[in-house]
Amino acid sequence: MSRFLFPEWTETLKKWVNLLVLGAPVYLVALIAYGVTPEAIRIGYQPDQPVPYSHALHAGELGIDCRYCHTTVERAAKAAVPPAATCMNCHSTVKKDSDLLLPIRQAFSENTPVKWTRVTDLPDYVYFNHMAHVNAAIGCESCHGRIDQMVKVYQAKPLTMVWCIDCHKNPAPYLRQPSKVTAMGYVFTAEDREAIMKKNDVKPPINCSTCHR
Amino acid sequence: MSAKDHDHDHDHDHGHDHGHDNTASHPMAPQGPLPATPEHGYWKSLKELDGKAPWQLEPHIKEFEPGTDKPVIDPMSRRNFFHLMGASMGLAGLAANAGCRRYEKEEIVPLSRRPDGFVPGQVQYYSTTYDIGGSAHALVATSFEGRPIHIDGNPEHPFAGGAIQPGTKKHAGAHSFAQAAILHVYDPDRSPSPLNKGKGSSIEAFKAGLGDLKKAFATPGARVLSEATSSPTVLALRRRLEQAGVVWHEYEPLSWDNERLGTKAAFGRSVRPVARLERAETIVTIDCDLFVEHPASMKYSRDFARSRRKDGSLGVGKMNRLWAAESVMSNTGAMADHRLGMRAELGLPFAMALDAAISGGGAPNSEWLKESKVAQFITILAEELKQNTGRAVVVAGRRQPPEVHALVAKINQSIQAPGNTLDYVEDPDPERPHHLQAITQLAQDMAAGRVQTLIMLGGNPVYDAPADLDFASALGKVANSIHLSEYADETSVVSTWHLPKAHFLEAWGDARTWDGTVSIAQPLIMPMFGGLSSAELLSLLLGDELPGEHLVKTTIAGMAPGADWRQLVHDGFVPSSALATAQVTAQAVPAFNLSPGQQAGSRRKNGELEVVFHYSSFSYDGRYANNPWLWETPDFLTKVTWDNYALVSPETADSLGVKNDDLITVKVGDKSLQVPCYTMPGQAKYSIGLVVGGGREIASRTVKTGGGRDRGPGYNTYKVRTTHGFDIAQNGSISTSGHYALANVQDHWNYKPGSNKLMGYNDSAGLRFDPEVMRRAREDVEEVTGEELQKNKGWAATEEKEFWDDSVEAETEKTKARHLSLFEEHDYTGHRWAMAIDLSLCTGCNSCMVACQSENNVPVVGREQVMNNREMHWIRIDRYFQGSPEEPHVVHQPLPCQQCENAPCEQVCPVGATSHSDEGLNDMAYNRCIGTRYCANNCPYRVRRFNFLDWNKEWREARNKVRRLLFNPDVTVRMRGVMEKCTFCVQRIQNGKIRAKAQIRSGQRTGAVGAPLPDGEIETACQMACPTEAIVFGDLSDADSRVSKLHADRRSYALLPELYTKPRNMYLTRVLNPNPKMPKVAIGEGAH
Repeated sequence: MSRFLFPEWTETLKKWVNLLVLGAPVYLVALIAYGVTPEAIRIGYQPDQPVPYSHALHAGELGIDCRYCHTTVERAAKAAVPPAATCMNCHSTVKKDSDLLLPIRQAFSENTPVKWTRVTDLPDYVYFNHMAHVNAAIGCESCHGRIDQMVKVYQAKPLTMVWCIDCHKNPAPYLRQPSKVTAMGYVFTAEDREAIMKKNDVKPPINCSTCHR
Repeated sequence: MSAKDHDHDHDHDHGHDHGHDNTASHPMAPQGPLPATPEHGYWKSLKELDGKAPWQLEPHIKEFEPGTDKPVIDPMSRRNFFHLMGASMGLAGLAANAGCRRYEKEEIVPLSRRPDGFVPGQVQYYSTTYDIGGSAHALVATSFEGRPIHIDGNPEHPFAGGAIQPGTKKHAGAHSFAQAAILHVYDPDRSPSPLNKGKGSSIEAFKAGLGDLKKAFATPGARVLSEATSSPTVLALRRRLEQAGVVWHEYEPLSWDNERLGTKAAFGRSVRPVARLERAETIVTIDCDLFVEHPASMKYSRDFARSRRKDGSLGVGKMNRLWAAESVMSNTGAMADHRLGMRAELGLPFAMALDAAISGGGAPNSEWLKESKVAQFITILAEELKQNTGRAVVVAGRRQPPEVHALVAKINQSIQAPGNTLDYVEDPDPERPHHLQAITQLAQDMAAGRVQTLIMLGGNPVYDAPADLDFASALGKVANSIHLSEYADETSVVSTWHLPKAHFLEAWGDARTWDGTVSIAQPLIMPMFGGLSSAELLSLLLGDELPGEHLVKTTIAGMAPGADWRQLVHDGFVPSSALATAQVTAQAVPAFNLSPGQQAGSRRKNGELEVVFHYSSFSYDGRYANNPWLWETPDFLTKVTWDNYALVSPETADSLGVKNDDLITVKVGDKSLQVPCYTMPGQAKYSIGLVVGGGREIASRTVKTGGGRDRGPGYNTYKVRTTHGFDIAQNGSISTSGHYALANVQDHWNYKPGSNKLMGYNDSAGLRFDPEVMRRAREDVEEVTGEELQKNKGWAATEEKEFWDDSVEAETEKTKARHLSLFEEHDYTGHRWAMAIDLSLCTGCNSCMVACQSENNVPVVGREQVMNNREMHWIRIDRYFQGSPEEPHVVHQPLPCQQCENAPCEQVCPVGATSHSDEGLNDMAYNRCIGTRYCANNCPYRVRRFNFLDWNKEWREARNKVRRLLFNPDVTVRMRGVMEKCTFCVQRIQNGKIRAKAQIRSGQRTGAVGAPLPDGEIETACQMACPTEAIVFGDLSDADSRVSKLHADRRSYALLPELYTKPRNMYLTRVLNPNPKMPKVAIGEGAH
């Protein structure tokens, strides 16, 4: 039997096959490299919560200010998650028999806390301070995204070191009217920026110890 | 005797050979670092004085301190290598897997109802009080989300706090013991439940037997043995028990009752002397440590510093003079302008001679008094006391017999101290017998079967009662014994019942500071392991079972009727509640007979030695034996860690044939004991100082691990303490019986100018130094006399214009002042954080070290690793001697990171893990560090610490979970393989700045955002803990800040200025105030 020969026309395929064989690892590496970036992994992280609390309903539709619940955001490092008692301010009359609110009622009556799952999580060696940012007129939206449109909260921004530093190097585009820090869908204006930049004397440091202690 | 005569092999036994005993044959000998000499320069150890410290022997061989690069695992074998390879590849896969995922899922658990004013994540401060040995320390505890994490002094307290200078912020230091006691709150080794005959039981079971117990109270066989307490609530409950027929005994192994007996002999009733050191120009101590051991130590340190500061409380140009005569070298002796090392038993002839010299009369017949140095000391001192009538005070120590205290009362009266520099206050419990008498009486009654019921409130008598009383077997004869204590200790396991005691941060309480001010202890947390306070147990026994708050509130209401309880708790004290001043006049003191030892001279034979019992810097009297922080904090003067030892003077050691690091047998009467020997410069000749508080049979796992033993670290020296030699035992003898290396840090972290590799050049002849470099290199510590400062107005600590060529500087100054570095120098526009440490005021009390450990989550490494130079303290206190080994002069130098402006560490980091902040701090990003250790190698001050091992490993065990609650959440906990160092408490700086900026921006405070903060708003942990305010932190951009003024002071100097590192920490030259008539002590005789 004569030797098997590839037909002539396969010669044209050869370069494509070569390209595939050579390109596949590159593609794979690129795919994995992108796959492990914070942008890909963290943005969109949307864990289940014990109570299907909808920010879209409360902050969006009903227009409750962020600070009604996150009371400490202007005076402390943490924008504390509210106690069950805060929920009960309204829910002792509104939807007071809802099954979905059972964990809240239980927490309130039995004094056992609700265990929420953290969405916006920074590494333990990073010290973020809400008070510093909110008082410098950085809005909630800049880091948390359009909370008012989230039925179930997810992480909207990468929260990476380079993302932090970009803003620390050039904060002007993110400054807004101090009275509007909690506003969602805020439209930035150039005049505002200049005025606030000056008024607040915003010079964010970029030392290691600014965030790492 | 020459220091070279004996072999001080008292460093660690690190593996490699450095037996270059013959310095002459050593390659670097011709010009290498010269050994310090007694006449010139300062030395840290006797070894260094001999030129045999490790860094002197081989400075050029090792890049790192000896021992630090010891392999952690067995040397790499082929098998081992493949083993590791396989593992690491597997790990790499895992790590990639783990790295690609999100961080561990975290939960947010908010309170169901948040109390008013509670802000999650923000610390709160509560005043509280801690009682030790019958005297209170007023404290402020820092609480993070309901758990106490840090202890400071209470600056508002009338006795403990106050402003050190007019116009400065109120401040109070915190004793290292009080700060470290916080560890016990979270110690999983604390007793978790009551024990009945050694077996786990419950409080309900105990309560079931209460009826029988109460019946027993009416019989004469019911007794209470309490540790010393100043609590008015306990006193009130005690009176009720006594009415019910119970006999109360109080015992404390380190007792100040000799003072009570002494004043009783002098005045007819016992009163308590409270010295007013801020008014005293001459302070004399007789075997007394004012600054650490005394019940009023923090107050005395503050007051001493007030009159020690130039232009302080005594007025412009004046400072006090401190004279100390003592056996064991104490922090007070180290601070003294004149110190006389004397055997403790000679306190009596000393006091008699001093009294005679002041009031006239014949000196007692003692050979020792005729020795010229002693005679001169007493004559000149008496002269000065007479001159400073009304402005001087004499204080005698705990160990001295009542006779000495009576004589001191008489001397104080002759120099008109009462009313001026000394107040006598009424004894809060005048009828109470001496502690020694009380325990003796009780033990005898127990042994004779006269005690059926014994309730022990705290204390650990089986361990610390005099050995001849044999308390353990006496306790066996008591039918029903109940022991209340934090830990199930030696006494608990042989008692019928052991009940867990609540920690002072877990229970309501009250106590009196030394002047009697009633201070309130409020709990910061519910008892972690159950537990009752002494008052609660007494109330239970009396049948009331009232809660602690009710008991304390009732007592306080009786003292301050109508006062607002919440306000009192907030303040932490009851105003104007100090004990009443006693108006007393000394009666004639009878003539005392001297013992043969007191009549002898300073030279004694083996068998005639005196043995004195000294408190431990690690465990006080043994009560902190479970405290790894304290065990690892080097002793104030010996710099030993994780052990207790016998202190022997170098000459005595030499003549009796014992060496440093020998295991010696100390024999007193028929009792003997093996203990390591430490040859302590300055220790009185032929006086053996036995440090107590070691060798606890029952110790916590943490401490056992750290000490590397199956029992607690150290040796139980109470074994030779008897009722006859309770404070000072006679006729002791010592002999060598082996070798035991103490974990001593005194030769670690050496940075002497003459040893600095950066300044030498290395050639075939080894490391050599230019003689000119040696000449101009300055000493690390600087001293000057007050007289010199006064006379020579032009005196300055930095006379010579540092090190570089002046002509070059003149050139560059035209363009940019002092920009001489090869690297780009920094310009600063905002805050410039800086520190100043006044060596005149540092008593070496270790408060800063423990404060730093607590604030910055500094790990503990254990005895073995300390021997490998791996201790992790961010601030260390270097202790220097100067002069002869027998009569040295001591300087303490706290050394944090110097935060250099031209930091050598920053230049060598390959990954930028340490970098310069625009405020002048050398920042350290742990997560970026890859552990090359280049920075530590390049740090001339030796302040960087490397995590050679995973020090927090055991904290991940389930049983140690509770210990993590102590961590300061504002500071990252470091992992293995990263470098760390002092950050000037950058977390406090950042939080302070952020708070101020936010308040300004939101209109709550006025001012500009970038402007300097009010001076003192941000304080470092070490600064807050320092009782004398020797450490001052602040902002150099504020010209009026205290730190700016101190940097501008002519006494200020930088360490190793020749390296042009421009440190942000400056030292203030120590000012001494010697009596001009006394022979001159060579001070400040550095190489410049």
